[in-house]
Amino acid sequence: MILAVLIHAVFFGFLTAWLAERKGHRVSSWFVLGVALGALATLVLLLQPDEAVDAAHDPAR
Amino acid sequence: MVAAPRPRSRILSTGLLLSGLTVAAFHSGFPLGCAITPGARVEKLPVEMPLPSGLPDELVLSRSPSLDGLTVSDALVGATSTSTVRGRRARIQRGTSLEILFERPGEAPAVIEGAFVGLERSRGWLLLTQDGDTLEYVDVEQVRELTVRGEAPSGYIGRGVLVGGLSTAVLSAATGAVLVASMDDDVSQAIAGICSATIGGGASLVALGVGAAVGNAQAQDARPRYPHPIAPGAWSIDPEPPAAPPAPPPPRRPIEPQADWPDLLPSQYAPSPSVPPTPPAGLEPAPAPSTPPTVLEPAPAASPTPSPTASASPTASPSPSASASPSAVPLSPGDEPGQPRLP
Repeated sequence: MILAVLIHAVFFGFLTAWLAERKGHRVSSWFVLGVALGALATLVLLLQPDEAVDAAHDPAR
Repeated sequence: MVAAPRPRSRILSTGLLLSGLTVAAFHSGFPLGCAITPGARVEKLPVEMPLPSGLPDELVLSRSPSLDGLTVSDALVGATSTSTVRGRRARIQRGTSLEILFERPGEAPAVIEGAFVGLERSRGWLLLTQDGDTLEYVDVEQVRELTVRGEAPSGYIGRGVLVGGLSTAVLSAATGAVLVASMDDDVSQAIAGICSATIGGGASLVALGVGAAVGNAQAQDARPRYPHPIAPGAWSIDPEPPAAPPAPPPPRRPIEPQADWPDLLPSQYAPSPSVPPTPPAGLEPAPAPSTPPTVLEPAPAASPTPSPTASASPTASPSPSASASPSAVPLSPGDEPGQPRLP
């Protein structure tokens, strides 16, 4: 059972990190969140706006 | 011109692919999913009901010495299990989950399941309970096979929960990601994400319950069973209970002649805690001691000695209101003649 939890945690970690890189967010942080929260972190990341879009709309950057 | 992928992107893609394949292999029954603990202990159920004190709490099965060549389960189940099989004797303790195959005259063989309670030797009944409150009995002569049920493997339910819950969570997350990516503006993406999360979360919870139920059903079928056929050439139920340690004698307080005997006698003759309670109807109680009551001669006033028969049985109930004849009980130096004395 522990092995199954670890396998799924690693999968969601890589999935979240891959999506974070595509959206321009910090990969390491989202990888940890994906391992810890699983699918929930992935869903939260999907709701986040892209960092590249935010940088374009923010005049201060 | 396509830019070369960065090393980190390549690492993430490779890790995602490998972990996804691992998850798929796990759910498809690959040996990676064998996180199952095979049951090696017998199942024990709680038996909390008032029982006669003389009812033995252990059932002993003996195997015929000429059965060495036959296939009979002879495994030691667990280091601290409730039932043990060693050599030619099997001991089944109270609470062990059993399946009893019995055959009544003129009827088809039937199976009854329950927790072992005891062996009623006077009637030859095997007592067991299915709900912890009511007793079922099976005639020992009608028993054809005793099967001890082992504990269900602990990994089945967890596996069912994981297969059901995580699979649904992965599927709902993938669906939600596709749905969100197909939206144009942020508001639509947020709405799509919330809807997919809500629906996916609910479906995952339902799948968790279904997976647990399926896993539990699989565990019941996969639990080990240790059959003990009751036959002349196989196992037999020992009629005698296992040797119990001798019960310590009840404490006896020496009765000293006192001036205020009527006040002390009720407590001195109170039943000691070691005395067993009165057995219920149907069970023959132990025969009472057939010692006839001794009529004590009046002790001489010069040398009063405590009579040994004055230390009566602790089970004798006091009767302060009994009008005993003064001549039947010796007088102690502190008593006045003519005062009623309690026997």
